[in-house]
Amino acid sequence: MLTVDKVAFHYTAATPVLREVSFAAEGGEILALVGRNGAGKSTLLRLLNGLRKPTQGSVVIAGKNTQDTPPHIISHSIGTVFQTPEQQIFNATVRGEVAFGPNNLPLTPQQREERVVRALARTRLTDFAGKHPLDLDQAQRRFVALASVLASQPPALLLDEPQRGLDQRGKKLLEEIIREEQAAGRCIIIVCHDMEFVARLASRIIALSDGRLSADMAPVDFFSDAPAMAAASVEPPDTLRLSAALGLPASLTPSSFADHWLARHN
Amino acid sequence: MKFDTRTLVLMAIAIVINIVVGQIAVWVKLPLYVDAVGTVLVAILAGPLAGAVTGVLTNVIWGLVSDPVAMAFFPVSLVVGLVAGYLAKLGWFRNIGMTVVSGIVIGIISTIVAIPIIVYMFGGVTGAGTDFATTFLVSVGQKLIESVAIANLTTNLADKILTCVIAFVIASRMPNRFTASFPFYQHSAS
Amino acid sequence: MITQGSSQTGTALLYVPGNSFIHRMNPLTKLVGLLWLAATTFMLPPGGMAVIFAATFLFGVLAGAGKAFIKRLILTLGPFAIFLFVIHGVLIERHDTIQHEWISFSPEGAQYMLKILVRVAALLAASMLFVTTTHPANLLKALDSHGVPPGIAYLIASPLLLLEPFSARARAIRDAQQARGLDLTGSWKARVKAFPALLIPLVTLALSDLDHRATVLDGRAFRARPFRVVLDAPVDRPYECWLRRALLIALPLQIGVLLWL
Repeated sequence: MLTVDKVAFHYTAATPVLREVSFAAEGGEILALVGRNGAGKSTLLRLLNGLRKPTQGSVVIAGKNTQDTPPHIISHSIGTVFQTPEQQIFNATVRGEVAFGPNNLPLTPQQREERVVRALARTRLTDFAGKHPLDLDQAQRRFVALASVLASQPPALLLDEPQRGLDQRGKKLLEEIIREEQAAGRCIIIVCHDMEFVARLASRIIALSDGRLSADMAPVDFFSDAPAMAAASVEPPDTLRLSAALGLPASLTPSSFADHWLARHN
Repeated sequence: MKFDTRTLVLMAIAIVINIVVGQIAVWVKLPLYVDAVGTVLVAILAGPLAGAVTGVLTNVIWGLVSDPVAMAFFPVSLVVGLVAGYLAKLGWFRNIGMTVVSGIVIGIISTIVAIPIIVYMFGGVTGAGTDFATTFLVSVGQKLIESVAIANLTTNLADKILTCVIAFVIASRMPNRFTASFPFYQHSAS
Repeated sequence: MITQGSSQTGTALLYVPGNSFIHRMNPLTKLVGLLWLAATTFMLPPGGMAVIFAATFLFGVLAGAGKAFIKRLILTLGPFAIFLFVIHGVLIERHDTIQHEWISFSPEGAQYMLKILVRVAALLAASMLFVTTTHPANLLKALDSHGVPPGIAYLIASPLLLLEPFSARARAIRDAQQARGLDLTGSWKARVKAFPALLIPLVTLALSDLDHRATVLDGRAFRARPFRVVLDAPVDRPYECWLRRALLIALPLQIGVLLWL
């Protein structure tokens, strides 16, 4: 549903940001985009939602080429949650904010209302629906932005460091929502530095290094591949290091580590 | 003329808004400048004097940064701030209907103040799109002052009405803890 | 009303770094000089105004700001001159209007147009000379060291510093709203509705940390005293003090002479 084909991008000819990046993604996949700061992740994100056009190559989302489709049309196919939700806040109420997306879609008022209510419920913001978004804390604002995107129900989601600044409960809720979306057949791309989070959720890891695609593999393979991790400046999650040190099969999560351990020692 | 620190910060932000809003108008391809939105906002929140100073300094800074011609129009910005502030005091920014009326009043008064500057300092030419209308009106026989007045009045009215409405919406959407600390806003709070 | 005579060319300063004689003059002298030049321009006949224009332009070139001068002069005066000529030289009926076949021309109108043009050119050039050779930070230090209240200085310094970050934020907001479905390219109705969606987040965001900014300022004893001591104030040479005084006294005298004649 999403194809990135030999995409290159530069702001000025002297400073290329992305070179020859290609990958594709389908609904039901969760892709984690990893890499050092400055590797080109933010730029790739903006190429994926049509805010920037590639200088070479093409990005096609749900059949629409970003080269000749305006960003607001692309947004119907891929919804973005940015790192700083404050930048979008336009309404005096959380409910108004969440309704922003559906209001830009051709829906009946009833359909809009349903979507807003559902999105508020999923993000546990129903009780805050009448509050001013800027009166909420950082984490809640993030969920307001997320609810706003969920309410538009795009087939693909782009999340920029969604887990940053969230406490345990927040992270759990976020994971829940991401899994729900995956189960509903949506394609989800997450830019992330938190490898535990990535290990738990991602079905595929896209690593960027110096503007190039340095890895496109399943998490188990990626986290067992020292050069690939080094290129992306990524540290493996703790359970993986532990399982490697103990000679167990690679385990990404504590529960799979426990399974392997018990299997060996029974 | 002592403003408290919060008011000063508000004014500084409003000056920047006045200048940056022009960029936004270009993005949406709006032919209006709406470059007094910060001035009117300050007038609503902190009164006529603060609004007037905001307006004048906007012209000064605009002159330093982009186009010195802007400095010649400081009386217009001054008047916009003063009138908006006094109208706010009278409660004319309490609801959107009255705000539109305020926009009309400010539009008319600011045009009256601008006309002598445009005609005597700049020979009737503003350097903006209104010059086409002015030229047309002169060519069909209208006197210069009238042509300048009519050409600029229509744009100015639309501009000031939009400006006042936006300032009103911004003020009404600020969280209460913010507006509570600007006592002058009580004149406009509903 | 119009605070921009022509299209905006970005938010960078017009200041052109340099070490010329004019650059090194005290900002206050230059400010007083500008005011004197501006006032005098109104008192002179077109010939005198042209002299002022030529002189300030020359000084501007000598100070290294030739490019900025030419760019601004063309951008502002170009369309201005054309419209002036059309309105005054051609369209307005005067008693010496010569009627050609399909176009009329008035020499008196053309003269009037030139007078206005030269006056605006002189004023613009004088202002340009000031802004291209005076960094706002220096101007503020000069004002500060002469007892201008910190509040006023803040109101000039702070916006200049905030211009670039606010522009960047405006762009980020535009991106974020477009990614949520905001249409910037549709009918004029859609665009008018899009305008607040771009402006309101910018203002709301800016105002939401107002308390924080104010507290920081107060915490620095920003206005504890009515004026501040400036550690590296711009040099104020004795002759400049006299020059300023001379200019300020000359002005009302000039006006007096003019009224008398």
